[in-house]
Amino acid sequence: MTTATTPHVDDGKHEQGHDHAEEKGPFSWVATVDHKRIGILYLLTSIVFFGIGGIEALLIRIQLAHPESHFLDPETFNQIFTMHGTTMIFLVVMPTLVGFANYFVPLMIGARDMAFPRLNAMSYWLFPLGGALLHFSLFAGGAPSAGWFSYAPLAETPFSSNTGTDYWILALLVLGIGSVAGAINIIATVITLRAPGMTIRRVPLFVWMTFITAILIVLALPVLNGALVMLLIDRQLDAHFFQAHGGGSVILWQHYFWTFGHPEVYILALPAFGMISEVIPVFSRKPIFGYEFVAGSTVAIAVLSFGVWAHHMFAAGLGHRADIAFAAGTMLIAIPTGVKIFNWIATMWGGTLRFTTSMCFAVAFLIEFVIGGLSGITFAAAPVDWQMTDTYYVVAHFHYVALGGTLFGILAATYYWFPKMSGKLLDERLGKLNFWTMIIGFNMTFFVQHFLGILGMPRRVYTYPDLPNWGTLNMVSTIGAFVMGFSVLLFLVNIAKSVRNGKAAGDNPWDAWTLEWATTSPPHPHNFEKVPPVRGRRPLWDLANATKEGKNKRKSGGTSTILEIAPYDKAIVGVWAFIASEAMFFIILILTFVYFNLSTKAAAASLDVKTTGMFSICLFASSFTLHRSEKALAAGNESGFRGWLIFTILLGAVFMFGQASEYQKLFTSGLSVNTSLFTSTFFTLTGFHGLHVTLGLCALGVILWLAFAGDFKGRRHSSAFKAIGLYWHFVDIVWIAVFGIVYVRNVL
Amino acid sequence: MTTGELLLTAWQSDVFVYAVAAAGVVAYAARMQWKLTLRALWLALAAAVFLLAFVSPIGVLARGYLFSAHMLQHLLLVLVIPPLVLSALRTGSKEAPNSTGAPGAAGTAGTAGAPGARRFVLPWLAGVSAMWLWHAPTLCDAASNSIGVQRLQTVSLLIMGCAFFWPIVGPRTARRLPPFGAMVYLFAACVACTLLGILVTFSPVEVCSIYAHPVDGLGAMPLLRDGWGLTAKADQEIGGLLMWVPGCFAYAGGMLAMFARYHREEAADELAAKEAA
Amino acid sequence: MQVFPIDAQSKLTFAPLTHKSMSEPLHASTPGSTGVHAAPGRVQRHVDHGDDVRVPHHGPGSPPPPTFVGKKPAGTSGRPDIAGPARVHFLPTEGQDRRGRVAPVVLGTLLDPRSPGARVIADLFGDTLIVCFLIFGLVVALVTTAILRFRDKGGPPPAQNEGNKRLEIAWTLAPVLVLLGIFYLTVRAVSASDPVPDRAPDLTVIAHQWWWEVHYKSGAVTANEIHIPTGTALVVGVESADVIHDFWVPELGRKIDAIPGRSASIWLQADAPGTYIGACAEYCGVQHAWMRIQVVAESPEEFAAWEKRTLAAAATSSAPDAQRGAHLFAQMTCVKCHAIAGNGEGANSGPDLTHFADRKTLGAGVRKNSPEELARWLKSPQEIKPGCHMPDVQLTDPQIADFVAYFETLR
Repeated sequence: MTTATTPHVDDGKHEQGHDHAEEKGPFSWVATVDHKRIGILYLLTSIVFFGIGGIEALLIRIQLAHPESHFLDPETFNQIFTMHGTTMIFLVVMPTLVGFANYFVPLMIGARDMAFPRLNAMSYWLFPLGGALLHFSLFAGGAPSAGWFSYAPLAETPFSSNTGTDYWILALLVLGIGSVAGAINIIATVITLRAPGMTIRRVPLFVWMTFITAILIVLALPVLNGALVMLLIDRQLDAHFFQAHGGGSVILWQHYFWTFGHPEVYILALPAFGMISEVIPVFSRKPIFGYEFVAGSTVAIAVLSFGVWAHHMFAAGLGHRADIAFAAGTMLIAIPTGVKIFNWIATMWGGTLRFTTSMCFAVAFLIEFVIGGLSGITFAAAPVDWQMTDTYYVVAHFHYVALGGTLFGILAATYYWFPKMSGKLLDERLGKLNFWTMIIGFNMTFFVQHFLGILGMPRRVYTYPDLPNWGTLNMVSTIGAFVMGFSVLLFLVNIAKSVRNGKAAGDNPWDAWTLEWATTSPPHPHNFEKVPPVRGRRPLWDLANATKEGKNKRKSGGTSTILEIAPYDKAIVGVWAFIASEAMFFIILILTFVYFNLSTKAAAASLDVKTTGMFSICLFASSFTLHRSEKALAAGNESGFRGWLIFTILLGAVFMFGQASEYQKLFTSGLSVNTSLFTSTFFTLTGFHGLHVTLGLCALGVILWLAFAGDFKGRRHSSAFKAIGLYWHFVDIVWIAVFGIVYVRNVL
Repeated sequence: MTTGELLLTAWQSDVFVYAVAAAGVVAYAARMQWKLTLRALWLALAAAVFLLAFVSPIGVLARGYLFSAHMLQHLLLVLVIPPLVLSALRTGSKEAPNSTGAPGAAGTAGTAGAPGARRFVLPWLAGVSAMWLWHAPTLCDAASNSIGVQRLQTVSLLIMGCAFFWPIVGPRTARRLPPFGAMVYLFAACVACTLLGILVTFSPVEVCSIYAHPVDGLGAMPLLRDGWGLTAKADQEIGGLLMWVPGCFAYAGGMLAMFARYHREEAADELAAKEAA
Repeated sequence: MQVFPIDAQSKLTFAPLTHKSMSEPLHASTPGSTGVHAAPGRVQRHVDHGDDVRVPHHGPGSPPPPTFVGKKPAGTSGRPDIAGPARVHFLPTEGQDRRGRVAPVVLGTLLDPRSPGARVIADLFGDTLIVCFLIFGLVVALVTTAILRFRDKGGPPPAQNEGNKRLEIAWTLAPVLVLLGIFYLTVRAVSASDPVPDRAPDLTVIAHQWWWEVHYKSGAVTANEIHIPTGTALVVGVESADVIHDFWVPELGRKIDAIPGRSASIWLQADAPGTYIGACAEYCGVQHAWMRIQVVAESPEEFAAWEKRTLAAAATSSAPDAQRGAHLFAQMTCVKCHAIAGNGEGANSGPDLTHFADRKTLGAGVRKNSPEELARWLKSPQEIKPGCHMPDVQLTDPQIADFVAYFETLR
């Protein structure tokens, strides 16, 4: 997709140190750091994986069309459904949402690019890497077959002996890191790069939802990463975190996974809510109803999402008290979602509805998502869950919310924003055909699955006995799946056709109001010739209705002198977000340590508290020296800055040396990762802390090198140094906790 | 004994509690220069909750019978009474909210290392450690066994709770955290209390040994153990769940209130700026 | 810090086993059960009963067994309904099997409860569904009305209404009230449908990868097929020998995970005689699909007779082919996995076969139990249930015939 040739406007601002010059040629796509191109890369790569995941789905449906079918053998089937789930969630839906966010968040807030363009590019490339890792398993002995949530102990080596699960773990680790990096970027962008006048209260709801989603990603993905790391250590290093016979806890995996897993489903849903919140107002010709309530309910959902995870474990027998507590939370979290649905309907109410394909999908979203949400309510009543979980009823539920919800939101967004991205309109007739075939196919596939679940069909079965109606219902579902597949083909054909021959779209084909429509289609490399003034939530509407403004008291007047156009530094914001994600990671490791060692003291005797204490003092001192170094830089004292920095690095290195020698001592006395739960948790926790110290040392080393190269003259880049300093202080604080819990407490 | 009988008879009198409540009321009245405003209702509510927490069956059961009652008492002391007290102290004048136009004011909370950080780090630590410290088994046992330590615990929980909520609903609106900062503050506290709640709920070890073998002066144990089904382990589990679930709902509610406050303040600011323009 | 006493007084909670040593051998889960030996190569596992079975903590005079709260089954006053011979629910009569495949496996439905506990859940589901339909109807009505009424007819732009606080409060509070109602019903249903068992299990089910091991308190041992007397509430202990499985018989009640290292217990009760089919409901590996359960409910007299038969050792036969079969069984590697009481030292990595011929299906439900199917199975189990732990033993046809003859005598 070529960008329009526009004269390069030099507005004098190169705050990102990057010149958005014309990028030509296929290689430029590989090297790009332009958020728009990265967004498109995300979307195109997702489409490829969508095709793969979709074929996997069709294979599943073919196998299940008849009772006792032999189309696929069980092992293949199990690998396929594992890959289907993993692919769709991590390689399709998440990247698609991130792709749209990448493209449109900077545009909607009037920025030139994301806060960290190169980090953005790295985040993208981790995505195909993760996808490749996952699929490489097919050539390395077999795909993972333990299900997309890979419960222990089925995922442990005795029961999943091929390397599929290991590739699954590695792929998810890589994808998780990419997601968190992308989320940090979004957070920093939304907080620091908004155009003058664009207060948080005025950002488009897509931006707000994406922002909250980014916070969820920052907090939830590290929990998964912690659990994955422990599972990998179990598998490769013979530990027993999640195996009963080593003293570990099988159910701990479920707790950790779902602590990630439930926020994850909101990560999948919230950006789609944002998309709907953009589309419906534009095609109803009125503003979103109850903006504050839609925004506020999102906050409520985000907070509550961390407190309901065990509703995925009602059948695990945690006890009635726990079940009731989580049932309460689950019912509570339904309320903010309901509030949103009502607000969207109220937006349509009294408006002038234009049924473009985009609007059709948005309205269909309302109905389909409500179906999914209501079946979720039935699950919140724990005893019903005791019957219905792990059946096709739950398969129906999550497909209704993920496809009927998120996918329809994505389709609505595609039809809405494709003109902006490509300059061409998608064909409306083909679009309507796409829409109707999708409605028919989707409902045909998944509505009958509610009945299958009620009739008792469990999920994840490669076949089933010939019971009354089971075959018929499954056949209907399979036919529906093929109709859906056809619909997807229509969608892809529409895109391919319209990119080439579509009608020219112009800047604002829908007469919409947010900032992305105030520039060309596709936008300039640097997004805006001139950012329009922002005086409300609908900048273009305000501009068009300027004469009426005086009469309308509710319109937000005032100029850009108001309020927190935040003077926050993006490096500082970014590093705080990073610290938050690392904090969650360490919380999981520390929690695991405490949990497994609450009643054992014996093994801790092998630790040498005094020696480690001395090395710890070095580490704590390094925080002090780093602080001095920062002070020196701020005072312009170059040599002081470098000197204290060197001292810091030395102290950190001494600490690492101390840790290495402690490890060596333990290894020689026969204690290793797999010796006992104490050593497993000890080595994992201190090992990852050491890794973080090492990474910090590398970063400080780079700073030192740049310092000698003169990069920090005149206090330049001092915020970058400050940011790394914050990271270093964080690592030290973690060590205070670890030292206290592992060494001091256990020895007391 | 039936539940009804328990609820009717399990009340106790505690001079210390009366003294603290009285002292609080008197101090407040003096601070308010003996003028009675509507705001005093918050303090009355706070005092009522305080008395309820100690004098009613909650207090009786907390004293050596049920860990969960003990936890409920703590939640009232740390999460309910302090915000009420601070709300009563609110000066009530329509001071400009945090973003008084000076960009620095909003900025200080965000840039770390700046003096502004101390404004919320210490109060946060006070609130969180109040929960954590008193549930360390040694301290928990000490409080159960000695009336002096118990009184210290009560007062310290109140003070640390007030310190915690000072940046959120403190009387000087200009010195409060900006709304988004307040949301992060509360969220972090929610995480901390969730971790503690999880540990307490799922811990195989006792947190407070006295509740495993209560001294049954009232004759209520059969009701508690059989009628209510509360074994010592179930009791601890409920205690952990109380800290965790309603505790976090309280923090979540606070966060939503902060969000609403943000919108209110901004809307007011926009209106003011527009009228000034 | 004291270690918390394992007082066995509360329902199952999240209880790790760090206080147990790792080398503790396998415990029999019910007193007097037989056939539970740690076989070579078998994964050692812990069984922690401490927290999940509540036994009365004061001495004599234990409280009466809990009664289910909920509607009584229609038309009964607690007596079992012995209207006719035990029939498989929904089944066409035996033998109507079309392709020699597994006919009598009919999974029940949530909506057709056959026990008090299942009835409570079905009622809760029904109530919740009504609420859901009403809400759905409301949403559909609103959306449809909006679509029809407010279509673009080329008029002036609409009023730019931005919100209405009162409406927001109303449609926040209304769902709260509705959900409060559902929550109340949920709390009631939790204890009504799944009362905490007050005694040690009457039978224990141990889930293996792709079959169910069953031990009765009396010592009876069987596999995949559970017999219970009608009208009696039994406590079933559920455990796992390897990965997480899930015991689920929809018509008779809730499902419960079988988690290695933990044991759980649920009640099992059938109002009327019949065969109720269940399944493993937690993905457990390659043959998760064929890990069916059959619960045969029969009158107390029939059950007692069955139990007596099952407790007895295997029948011996004087037929020469059966005797050859018995001989083969003892000599070949069969005994390394299967036990037949009275024929060699059997192990339990595979199902106990002492009364194999009594069972309706083989392979945990994959095939009907008939001589032809058995022969096919012995020829190549991997063809029928690929991935299962029984290898193709390369038996010759005469050997198969002898085995079939022998197994047919095992009633």
